[in-house]
Amino acid sequence: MDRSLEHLVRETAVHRSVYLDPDIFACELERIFGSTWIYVAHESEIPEAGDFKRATIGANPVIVVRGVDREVHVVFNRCAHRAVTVCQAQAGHTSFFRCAYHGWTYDLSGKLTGAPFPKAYDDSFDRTLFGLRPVARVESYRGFVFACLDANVCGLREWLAGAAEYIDAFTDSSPSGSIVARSGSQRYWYKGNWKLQVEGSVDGYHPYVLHKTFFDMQTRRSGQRSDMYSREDTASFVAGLGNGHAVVDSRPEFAKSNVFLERMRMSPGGPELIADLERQYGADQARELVGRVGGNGFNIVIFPNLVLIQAQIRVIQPIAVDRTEVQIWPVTLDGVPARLNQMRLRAHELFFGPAGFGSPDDLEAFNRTQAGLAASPVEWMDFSRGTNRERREGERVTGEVTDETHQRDIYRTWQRLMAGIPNHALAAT
Amino acid sequence: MTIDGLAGASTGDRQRCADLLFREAALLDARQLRDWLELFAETATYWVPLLENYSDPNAELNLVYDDRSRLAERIDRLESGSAYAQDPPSRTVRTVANIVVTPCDFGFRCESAFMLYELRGGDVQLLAGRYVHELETTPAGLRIRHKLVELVNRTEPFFNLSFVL
Repeated sequence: MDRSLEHLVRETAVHRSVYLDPDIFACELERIFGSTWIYVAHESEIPEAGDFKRATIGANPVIVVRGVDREVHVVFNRCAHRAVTVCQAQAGHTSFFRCAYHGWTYDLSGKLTGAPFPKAYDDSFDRTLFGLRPVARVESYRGFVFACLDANVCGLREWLAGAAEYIDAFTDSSPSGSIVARSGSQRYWYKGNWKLQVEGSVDGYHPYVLHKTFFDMQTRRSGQRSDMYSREDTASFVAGLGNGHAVVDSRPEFAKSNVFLERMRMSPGGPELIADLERQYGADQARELVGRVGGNGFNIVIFPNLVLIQAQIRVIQPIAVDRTEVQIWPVTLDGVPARLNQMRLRAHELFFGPAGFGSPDDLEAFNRTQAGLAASPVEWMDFSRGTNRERREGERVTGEVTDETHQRDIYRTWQRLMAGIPNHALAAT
Repeated sequence: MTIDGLAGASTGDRQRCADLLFREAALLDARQLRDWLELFAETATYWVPLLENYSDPNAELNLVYDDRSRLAERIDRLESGSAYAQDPPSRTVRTVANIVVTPCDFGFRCESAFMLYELRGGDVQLLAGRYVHELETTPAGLRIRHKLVELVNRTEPFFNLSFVL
């Protein structure tokens, strides 16, 4: 066990070097992003044979492509000959990948199908060894495709542990049980460590302060005040779910509140949409669909860098120790009236993205955090909220909505992986 | 449309449209956002598309798609003192050029190119793109009924777009 890294995480504090040290960042790419399941695509992004998108596993460029066999293949975006990337578009449709440099050509599964002037290779040249290298493991859960560089990793379902039920809830928010991530994605970056967005995505303490302008606006617009984020004694909770997966779950408060229904009633076309939904789905499900226009009522980090936040899939991409890119895909629901999906997209744009009423302030907080970390004598980031009231049942640890219980749990997993305890051993512990 | 591609707007109309575009740019750069909003018709929309091949702001994901009341709320927020991504505020200068004015049934359609220099907290951002303004003729003069901001880098990651483009 690497003791120098082990000592960077205490029970209730994280050392500043975890956010600042380029060597630790390089080690994270290897030991965390190289050993755990990393989300690469939602299957709805590549529904047809030949549909592809690019993704990144740690620093590794990959192509996620649906083959003629209908299977999802994840291969490195790296020509087997001389390393040139063979796929330039972010996403698209193709029947093959061809390297622009020397013309090596690969089919949708990555198999080498041709190289110009083949007489220079004799019989010892085994072209089956010169396909686009597949990523060691690929598995899918409810349409969420994950890949892992480590062939010895435990199964995806085992790794997901208590996070699986949230993927279920996210997906089953659609009456057809099918969600679609094909409306587009927003991308932004900030001058800070990737884990600031990880912690921030499930931080139940900040909304009332940092996002007050947003809640005030919502209240003024609708006349309906929600105190969901301005009280501490709510039915919402935070939980560490095992393997570093962490959730802030406000569904108990959402269920009690009529505020979303009332706001919809007051919006243009709202009453008509409610009537449509009630006819199609009945009053109870209509109420739920309306309640979830702005999101499902929970934010979950699926360790290390996938987040399901409200109605959005979010991927947090480390670029450098102090630079991070984030890509967010709001999902629509398959089969519901188009008007409902449009309202979901508008609700997303209002808060999220580089020009939203919420996200830019989050990014400002992360930029300021990274700047403040330069104060070298103050060595520790404090994560002690709620140590006095957390409840542990087996792998699961729960706290009140503004507590840091689940964030502490993220760093316990970080610490174990960075100490060199591999994922397959971790899942078993 | 003539063979040289120039629309049939008179010199006077072109000048009136250009004056409005320049006034709009000056108000935004001076952060006189309330006065800026007065340039917009009550039913106006403001669209910053996101997709490379954008087509329908209702059906697709956008960077911004505001009606006038949402624009007013955007300004309320920016002026609240608690919009931290604008504390300190962005300082901008934008150049509007290559204006092409086409008369249409409600007034004029103006396409232009813009360059926007932004400085905030030591960070410089250079944005470029195309504006499309739909201007309607009213008894009080020209009003913006739709503004489209087509950023060249709309599919790339952004650092901060919390000011008005």
